[in-house]
Amino acid sequence: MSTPRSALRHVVCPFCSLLCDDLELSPGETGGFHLERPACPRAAAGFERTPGDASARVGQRPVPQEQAVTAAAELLRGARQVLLGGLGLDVAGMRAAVRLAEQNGAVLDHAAGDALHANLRVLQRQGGYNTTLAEVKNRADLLLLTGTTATDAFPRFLDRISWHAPPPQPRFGGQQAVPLRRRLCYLGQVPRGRDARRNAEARPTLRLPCTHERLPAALDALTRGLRTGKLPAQSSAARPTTRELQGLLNALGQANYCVAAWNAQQFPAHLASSIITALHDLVQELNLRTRAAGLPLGGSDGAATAVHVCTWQSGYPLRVSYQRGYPEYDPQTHTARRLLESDATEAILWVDAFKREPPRPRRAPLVMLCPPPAPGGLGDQDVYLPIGTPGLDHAGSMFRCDNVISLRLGALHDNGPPAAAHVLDAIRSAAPPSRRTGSRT
Amino acid sequence: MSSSSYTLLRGGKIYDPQNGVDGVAGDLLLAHGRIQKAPKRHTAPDKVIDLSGHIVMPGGIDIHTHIAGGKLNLARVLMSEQQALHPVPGDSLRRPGSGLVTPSAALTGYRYTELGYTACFEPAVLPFNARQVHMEFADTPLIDKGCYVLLGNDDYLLRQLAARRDPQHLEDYLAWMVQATGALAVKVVNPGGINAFKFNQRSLDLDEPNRAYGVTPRQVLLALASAAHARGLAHPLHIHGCNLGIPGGIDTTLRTVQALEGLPAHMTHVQFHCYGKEGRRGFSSGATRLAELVNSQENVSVDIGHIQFGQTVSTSGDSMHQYDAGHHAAHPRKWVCMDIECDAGCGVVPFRYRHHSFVNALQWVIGLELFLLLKDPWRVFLSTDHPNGAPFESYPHLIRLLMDSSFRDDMLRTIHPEAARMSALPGLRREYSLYEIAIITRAGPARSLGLRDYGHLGPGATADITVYKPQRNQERMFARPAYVFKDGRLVARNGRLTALSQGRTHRAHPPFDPSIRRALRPYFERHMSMRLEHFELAAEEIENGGAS
Ligand code: SF4
Ligand SMILES: [Zn+2]
Repeated sequence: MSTPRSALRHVVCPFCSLLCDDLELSPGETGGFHLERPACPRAAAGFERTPGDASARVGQRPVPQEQAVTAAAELLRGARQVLLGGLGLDVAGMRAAVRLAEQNGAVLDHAAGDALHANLRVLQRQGGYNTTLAEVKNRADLLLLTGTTATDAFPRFLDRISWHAPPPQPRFGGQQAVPLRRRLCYLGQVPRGRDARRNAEARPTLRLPCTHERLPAALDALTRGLRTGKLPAQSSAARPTTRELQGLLNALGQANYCVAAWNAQQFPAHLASSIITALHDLVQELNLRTRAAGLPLGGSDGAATAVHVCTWQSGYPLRVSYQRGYPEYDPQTHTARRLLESDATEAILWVDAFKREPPRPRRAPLVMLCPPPAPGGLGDQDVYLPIGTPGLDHAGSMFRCDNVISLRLGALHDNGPPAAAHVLDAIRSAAPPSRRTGSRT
Repeated sequence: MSSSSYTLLRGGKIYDPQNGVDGVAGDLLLAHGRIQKAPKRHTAPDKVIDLSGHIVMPGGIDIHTHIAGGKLNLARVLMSEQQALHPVPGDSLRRPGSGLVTPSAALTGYRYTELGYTACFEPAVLPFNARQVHMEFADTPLIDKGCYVLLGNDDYLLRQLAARRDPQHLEDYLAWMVQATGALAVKVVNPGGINAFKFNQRSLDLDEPNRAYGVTPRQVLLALASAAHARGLAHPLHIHGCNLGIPGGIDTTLRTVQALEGLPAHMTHVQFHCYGKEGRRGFSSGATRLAELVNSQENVSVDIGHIQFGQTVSTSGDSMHQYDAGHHAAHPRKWVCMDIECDAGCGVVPFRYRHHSFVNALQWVIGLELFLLLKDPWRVFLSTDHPNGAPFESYPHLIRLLMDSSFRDDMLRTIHPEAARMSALPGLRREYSLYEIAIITRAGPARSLGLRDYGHLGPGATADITVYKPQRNQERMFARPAYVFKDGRLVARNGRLTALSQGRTHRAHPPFDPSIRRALRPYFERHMSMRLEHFELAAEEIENGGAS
């Protein structure tokens, strides 16, 4: 198989965690692929990518792949504290990353580790009740988008849950089933510009614009309103206004299955925890009488995949250090952000099959694995190794935004750069550690 | 030792119930991963292991253990502080990992092997989570694996039942689903109830209609049990019934057994479905009643789901009852539930079972009463519903409780006195023999799962063998097998891993009319969130433990 000439149908898309599986592509003129349908700017850009200079580098110098692997291995071998970050990977890539971390005593964290952790921390503290895309599609009659329009980061979100145009027939139910009367509510961020056009068809029935700062109080007011039947008093200048909140409170009361969706990546770090806590509290309050569930959106660029694979392999959802020979979980300390800036970090391996952005600021020498060509801003000590993108250059499996579901992605051609798993394994074989703290042998 | 060499296990006392061998000293010749016919003169073994004075059994088979899938990962995440109590470093053989109640995948394989188990079956695989389960299987070394796919709360099936579709169609659907998910059997959890909970029904009894579809749990059970039977699945419908954990649930359980109308069925973790509401506290044992019925119904097998005292976490597809349990009994006070993909749901609730809690103590009593009152060991399988009742690490302790009545008496004195007083245990002097233990942990599960080459030591059987050094204290004996052989290779010695292997995945291939795909495709496009062909697992996602 080289690049097929004819159109490719039912392609699974890796470029956000919705993993849409209905794409039609045609081979482009210059080696990339053209998205025929459906419309999605993010997917179109991802598939259009044309393979540039695919050579590996040490410093600024193009070198053969093996030489770069050796250089990478040497950097890692000499280092006492290694950050293995980015983790924009498929399942096989993530398996290889965990193996490498085990061998070299590295810390694992994803590029979106802060947002992932914001959700996980609330879950670990108080649990929650969540749902998945097909449930939203068939059962939700109130979709509460909080602090996000969803489509800004997941372009086809409303499409995928059939929220465009009211359903002509009933979704689920037996003989007496009636079509769902669905309502869409924006709490916080409301769509603007291109995003607004994308949302127009979905016909939002409620808009409660406000700042992120206001979200915890607004959500708490709704929860208390549900509990007591009455909204707590608030200052008349506050947004959303009491009147707006009352409208939403009524909608919540009438809904049979409310889904509250959010995107932790869009919350300011200092607010994420309180907003997410308030969202879970609202869902749990609703569940006392009707049915409701949360939908934490996120997981793009391999984040959902990284969390899952790391959890079943180490027992923990990332932010794990293998420095002592066994996995240690510390979500406050074992963070990419901190380790990038720490003088104690002696080497960084950053692997991302989706983005070509070396982490910065950073202090230690970098081994960068991303699709070619080599990104700018690499230093003299840094090493670059090209990798392919799953679902484009090689086959692979990935987890979707709702975490339970995974899909198999195919290869669209066979002359792309190697899979990250392959390159990570090569580095591991070339870098047997000079010492292994804590190991028994 | 390469698999092509001959190994002779000489002189062990063999317990091989499938072949009627009860503690007879004998030799076993292993080659090509299998047990060979009696040693021939010209086949000089490459290696002889003297097992005189040892006990030899087939490798253990766990018919119901939650070892993979999304709910396990949720449990690991929710209970990270508990994971941290059990850090496990790697060595030249083992990968590092963590956890005792919900061990990381590789640890699960290591620890089961070190306990003498060679095959484990994950009983609750949501169709849309099957891909993940096989991925985790691939990362769970040594043991053989297999899974049961969950049906009976999927909106598709309920729609078909509501529309009174012909049984043929349901059979094709079930068989296709087994094939598509790489499953070995079919399980139903709270038939129709998980679905009803999504429509805000908070409980659903056997003959209560689902509000949306008008379908009752009885209809779901009958449809699935007969479809599984009709399509020749060796393991009958694996049933987690209605009303789990409810005082008075025993009545539902008895009616459920009767509702099967003689169809073969497996009732799982019956301890949790065996609660009466007699007594001052409205909570009592239904063990006598259940045992009486099961003893008389040859079509039914059970596993117990015994609890042990201590901290654990329960993971179940039964979101309806886990939601309730979360509110009332979670310890620590946090829990996660999910509605999943018009397929089913899940609930993860941490529990701490305490000696001094009346309810917990009585649960412990009920599990043992059932073990002792159920007469036919071929229809009783040992389980703690790992990790729901207790982690699998507690099996040796449980085996001792079954084999040693005075030990049982000692333990009974440590639990809540009122539960002890209500217990029938003092009068039950039965002690399981090694032969019976070999049935409930090996031969029985293999037979029930249709694994002809497993669970026995006759010629042609897969050479999965566990050897114990006899000890007065059976707990110690079962905790550290002297030898464990997987596919004829020595993989553990004195309770410590010595070699690695991958283990295989067992699956069934029931026949179905391929045109079922035509019927399902538009349904998938309209209601599901992926296309049918992306839902179906490719063979290479399942074979060889899913490694690809
Ligand atoms: S929404 Fe996401 S997954 Fe779907 S086509 Fe666009 S980028 Fe790809
Ligand atoms: Zn179970």
